[in-house]
Amino acid sequence: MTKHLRNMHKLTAASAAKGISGVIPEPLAHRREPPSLVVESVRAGYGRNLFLGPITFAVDPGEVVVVLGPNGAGKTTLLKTLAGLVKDSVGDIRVRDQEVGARSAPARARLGLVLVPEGRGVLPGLSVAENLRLGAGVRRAGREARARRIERALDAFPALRSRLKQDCYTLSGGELQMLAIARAIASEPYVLLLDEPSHGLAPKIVTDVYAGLHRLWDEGLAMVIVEQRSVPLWCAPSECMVLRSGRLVYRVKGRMVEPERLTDLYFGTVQQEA
Amino acid sequence: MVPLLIFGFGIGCVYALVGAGFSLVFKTTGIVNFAQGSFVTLGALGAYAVLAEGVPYAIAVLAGVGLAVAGGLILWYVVLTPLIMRDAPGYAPNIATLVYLAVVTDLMLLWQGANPNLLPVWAPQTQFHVLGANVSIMYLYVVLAAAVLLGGLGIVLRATRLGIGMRACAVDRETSQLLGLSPRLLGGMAMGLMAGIGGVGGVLIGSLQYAAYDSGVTFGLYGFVAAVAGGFGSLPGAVIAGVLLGILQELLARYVSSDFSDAFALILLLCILVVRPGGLMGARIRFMSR
Repeated sequence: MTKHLRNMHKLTAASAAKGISGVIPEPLAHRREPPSLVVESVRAGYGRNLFLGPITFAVDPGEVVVVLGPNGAGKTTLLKTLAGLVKDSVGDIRVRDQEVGARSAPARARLGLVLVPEGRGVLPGLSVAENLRLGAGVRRAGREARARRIERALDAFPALRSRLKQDCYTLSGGELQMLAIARAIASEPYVLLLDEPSHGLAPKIVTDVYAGLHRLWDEGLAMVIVEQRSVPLWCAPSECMVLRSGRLVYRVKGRMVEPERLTDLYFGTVQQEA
Repeated sequence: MVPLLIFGFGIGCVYALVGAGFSLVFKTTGIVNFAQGSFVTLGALGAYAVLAEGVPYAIAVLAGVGLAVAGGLILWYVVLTPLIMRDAPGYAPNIATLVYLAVVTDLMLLWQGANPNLLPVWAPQTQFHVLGANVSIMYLYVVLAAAVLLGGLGIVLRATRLGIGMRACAVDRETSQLLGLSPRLLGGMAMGLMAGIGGVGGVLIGSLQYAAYDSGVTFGLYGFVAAVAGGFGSLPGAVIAGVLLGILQELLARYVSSDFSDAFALILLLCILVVRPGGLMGARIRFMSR
């Protein structure tokens, strides 16, 4: 029931933000869905030294977990580990109750665990449409289903529509970020991992990007968002964690960490995990 | 003069096929496959050996191309994949392909001996007249077949998900993995595909030129020159440079001497690299790697 209420709240916030009247969702209380992502005692690093972790958390459908931390805290390594790009890692990673820890990165993408990487993973030489086509083809589907997926991804980021034929190399930073996210959701994932989606973008563009993300969140996509600074999330994350030197120094449920605490958490004396 | 141009064009098309192999394999896997020329030998001598057993021509051709594809897949899955999986340093796979070329060459020597062989012609060998010269129609077939293969390859790369995936893999392997693409599988497909195309090149040229156990070294060299001169990784560049190289060599052999073919190809390559360091299609390369 609490989940239902929380979703109601989010929907209202989103609708208010977009200036459209909200639609009352079906009650979710009786739908027992497995958590989209469960991360248990994950440790990772490069070579023998597993400097990151242990980290444990879970994300339910339609929820978002935010991971903050300064440069070199291990945020990117955490997401890469979840996506299967870090060889030296231990711990359990489950997507909808399916263990994926032993699987390769492409296999995890096909199971619905998709990373939008740092630097957006631009593929120069490929057009926007070709990028989306690759995204839509990650998980098996017929031709029509793939076309629908691309349409839905474009609905979330309509600014891309006029750019379909362009080489993605010619896009602006904001458009590239939107393309990277659109390409990721075109595969209809269960979990979206986002590595600093606001990086290098003007505040106005950051708002646009997060508006698109919010819409996806509303549709029931689970997300893990890594950021270096506090961002306008539009609504409360289910959990907020702060990483520093590979360790959790702070975590809080149901809200963002207070921005004024970040300086201390990033640069002050390291506290015990909350 | 005209027949020379046509001969050169025909041979150049085979260089173009090999050069395209260098380019595509490099683009998808990041490896310079020096064994690319050996697929031409495998195709030509494989078809010759099977034909000698008395099977129909079409089956012999298929066997030759199949042998080339097998050679490519063995190189990728048996030699290169284990190296990549174990994080071998970047130079190791490139050197492994050079060793593979030597191994294939020696095996061909053991199998077929040192005598060069000529495949019988596979089509009615009519001659046609161009400006008072007789030219075998075979050369036209070679050009036609190469054009169909390369055109088909271009369409695959442009318009199919497999091709888009290969191009994605070429520019960013990590991102490709995040899109569910397996670089190992795509690399194997690129290698198998280009080995097959090299094998077809071998069958085509095998009835026009004598093919010996070590022809792969020569074709590999010229294909490599074509690929580098065209701008490494650029498919159209490799094709254009390959055809040009074939024509220039033919002219050189006629008007100067055929002894200088290898030296000429390499000097030409150096000249092109000095003038345009990125190759003929260099501007595009610079753009791609930015």
